[in-house]
Parts: sequence; C-alpha cells; structure tokens
Amino acid sequence: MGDDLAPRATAPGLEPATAGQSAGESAKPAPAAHGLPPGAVILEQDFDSSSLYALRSAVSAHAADVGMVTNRLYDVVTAAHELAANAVRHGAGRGHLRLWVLDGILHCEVSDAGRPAPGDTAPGDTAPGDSASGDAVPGADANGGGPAAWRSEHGHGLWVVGQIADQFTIDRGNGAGTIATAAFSLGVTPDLPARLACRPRGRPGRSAGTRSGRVTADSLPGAVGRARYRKRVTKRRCHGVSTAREA
Amino acid sequence: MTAETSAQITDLTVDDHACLTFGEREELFDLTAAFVRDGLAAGLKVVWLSDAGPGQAAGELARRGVAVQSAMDAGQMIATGYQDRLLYGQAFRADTAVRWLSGQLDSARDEGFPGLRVAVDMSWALRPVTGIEQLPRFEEEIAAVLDGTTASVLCQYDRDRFDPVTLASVAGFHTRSVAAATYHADPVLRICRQYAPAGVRIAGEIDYQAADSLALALAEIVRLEDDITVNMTDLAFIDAQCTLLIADAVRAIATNRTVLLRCGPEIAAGFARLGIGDVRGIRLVTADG
Repeated sequence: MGDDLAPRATAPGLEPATAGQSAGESAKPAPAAHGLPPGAVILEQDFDSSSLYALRSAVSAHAADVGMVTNRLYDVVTAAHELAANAVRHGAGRGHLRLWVLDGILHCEVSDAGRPAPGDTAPGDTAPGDSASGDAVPGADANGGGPAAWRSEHGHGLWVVGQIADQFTIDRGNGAGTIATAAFSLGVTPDLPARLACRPRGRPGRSAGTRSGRVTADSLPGAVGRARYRKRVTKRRCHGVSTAREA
Repeated sequence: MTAETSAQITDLTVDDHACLTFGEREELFDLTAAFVRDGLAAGLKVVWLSDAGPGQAAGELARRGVAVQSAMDAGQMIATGYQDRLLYGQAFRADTAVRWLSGQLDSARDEGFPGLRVAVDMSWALRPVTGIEQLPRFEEEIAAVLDGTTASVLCQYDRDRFDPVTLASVAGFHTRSVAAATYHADPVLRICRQYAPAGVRIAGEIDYQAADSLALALAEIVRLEDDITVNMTDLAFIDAQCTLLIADAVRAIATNRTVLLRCGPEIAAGFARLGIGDVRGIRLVTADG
C-alpha cells in the first residue's frame, strides 16, 4: 500500500494535487470534471482494507477543519467509512475518497473501479461478493466483471449512510465502477433522539439545535448526466428516526 | 512456584499470590472491582493499595456495581495509599513492606475475618524511589508470608509501563498470572471480558474486520453470564456491521435478561436508529465524553 495510499491534497484550502494518479484510477473523475472551483477539494485519499482507520482519521480532521459541527463529525466519518468499506468489500477492493466543500455543503465522494474480473482477488481483503455484512448482492455481477450492485438493507452500511447524510446518491457508471456521494450541511446540528437526552460532546450544558437547510441535487456535481443508474435516498426525519425511500 | 498460564480474576483462591497485568486504568479498576467484590462476598477483609484515595476508590468500585462504603465503615474494606505502608518518603524497603503485610494478616485474624485479600497497584515502582532493586525480593517474601495462610495478594502491573525484564523478574514468584480474557488487542482496538459488572469491554475503534472477535466475545459472555454489560465508553468508532452484530446479540437475550449498553451519544444514536432503545430488557446509557 504505502505511498500510493497517501492523501494527495490534505491541507484544507490548498489546491488538490493531481499528479500521481495511477492508470488504475482512471475511472475516477478528475476534479475539473466536477467543475469544482479551486480550493473546493479539501482531501483526496486512496484507501484499501488496511487503511480505513487512517481514512477515518483524515476525514474527521478535514471535516472539522472546514467547520463541521462536533456532533455531526461522527456522521461524516461514519458515512465515509461505510462507503469506503463497501468499495473494499464489494467493489474493487480499494478505492478513492474525495471531500469537497461547495456552498456550505461538505461532500464525501467514494469511488471505485468496480469489481475485479472473476478469479481476481481484492487486495488485502475478503473476496468481493462476500456478503457477510450484506451490503452487496451476492452474485450481482453474474454478467461478469461489472460493478456489483450496492444494496441498502436495514441496519447495514448504505442504509446507515442514507439515514445520517443530508443527501446520498449512488451512481453506477457503465462498467466503470461506482461513485457514491454523501453530503452534509456545515455548521448546523441535527436533532438527536430525544429519548437519549444527551449533550453534544465537548459542549457541556448546550442542547442540540435543529438542523436547517437542505442539499439540492444541483450541489452534487457530477451526480446528474453521468449516471446510467441513479439512486437517490431522501430522508424524512421525525424525532430523530429517519425513513428512507428509493426514487 | 512458577506462574501458570493466565487465569481469570474470578478463579483466585485464598492462598494465591497472583500477578495481574493490565493495559489501561479502566481494565485495572474492572479487575480490582471483581477481586474486591468476590472477597467481600466471601466475608474476607479486603485491602486495596493504590494512588486512589478512599473516596475515589469507593467511587470507582461503586461505578462498577460494587458497593463498598458500608464495608469501609465496618472496617472490612480498606482503600488507602502506599505511603507508610510500602513507601517511606521516596524510599522502598522490602523488609518493611513485608512487615506491613504481615501486620495486615495479623489484624485480619484478630478482627475475626476468615481471610484477607490484598490488591496492590504496583505503579509506585515506576516512580523515582530508592530501593527499587528490592522489588523481586519483596515479591519472593510475599510468597513466604502467604504460605499456609488464608490470605491472597494481587500484585497489579501495567504491562505497557513496566519493562519486560522487570515483569519477568517478578513473574516467577507468583502462583498465578491473571489478565482479562482478551479477544482482540492491537493499537487501534481492544476487546476484552469485563468482570464487574460482567460483560464485554470494547475500546478504540472497531469495524467489520474485527467482527469475528466481537462475535466470539459476545457469544462467550452470553453463555457465561445472565445479565450483561457491553461497555463501549472508550469506543471512539463503531461501524454498521458491528453495531448490528451487538444489537442482534443483545436483542436475542433481552427477553429474559437485562442488558446494559454504555457508550457515547454518537454510538448510542446508532443503536437507537436500530430501535434498540425501545427493546424491553435493554438499557442504552450514554456517557458524555
């Protein structure tokens, strides 16, 4: 793993580095393809099963640095982890994460190159299609080598991301892998389940506020027009309990 | 005598001179609480030497479901510091320390207790004290003092702070080596048995890669104990699969047992999302930071 898993542009506010991408990462759209303004991308990092801890740590640090409120940081880290873990376990075995900020929204995008052809083994992890955690559909790539369907099941990774993100999209390219993006509003706090009656960490004595502002599809660059298949999970929150529907 | 392979804290008998190794303060307090709890339940006199004063010691034990205040008031339990017992100023002398221990044995016998349990947090030996080279002799003489008595001594060593040479030099004088049953231990994650209250303790960050260890820990505690606690107060991250694994395990037994899940608010929200907070028999308790 080593060097090619290192963050490329880790310092918030710096231009994302574009050098060093390997040919195997060509499935990932370049920042310019998103039309992102300079400085929008705050983190780019490759990952595999051995670097998920480092990935979570980097996501947490950079999300905090751009002002993500303390008690939503955990949601951002969770989303990043679950999307990355899905890529590791049910996709290419490795992938690429990118964080960017646009119009007060933090976007967490995870992309992978799709499942390896039959006979190939995902590096450093269980074979793709091992559905112990259930987020992938076993045998979903029966046509051979195409990207596995990422399915959202109650309690599993993608379901959780759909519950905690302000918006969540999964785009499956034409055999070129999967791009999943979770978006979070900056600077606001969500309602925690009233039953828990707990205070936000690090802010003793202050009660949780109410989240305001929604993410629009327009704020998800690349989410429209590229997808052969698009799934949007929209959430409705009621006393901290979310419901999800697929469109 | 040489130490056997690691025993459980609950296996100790009256004449043991046990060497307990621990990795974190939380683990030390948990194992000490079990040692104290079982000693008081057997009607023994219990002495705990540590940095913690009587109030803090009582608080740590109470937090783990071991109420000691009445035992302290009655003289059955003593929690005190090292000074004038093992240390005199910044000096340690093995013969003086052994004399203190012999005095405790005599006192317990005179007070009518059927036996004595002494837990000694050995972290004092990490300080700049003179006479530290007498530590192996102290351990050797403890073994001699305990011979033929109904007393047991639990020497508590921080395995990360004591060097391996020191640990090896004292290990041979103990009848048993005691440690928490550990299912996973690396720099990121530790999963071990919790003894007071009974359950599993998960600290660090856990994801699907440690799911097998977590499943084993849960399966064993469910088989061994009735009511269980899953202590996640030092857990900084848990992924969806492990959250679901714990939720399914405790939901399955909550019909006729009590389960306590202790964790931070973010992790509690994950369990609440699965409806765990509404299941009869399961208590979801948040510890804020």
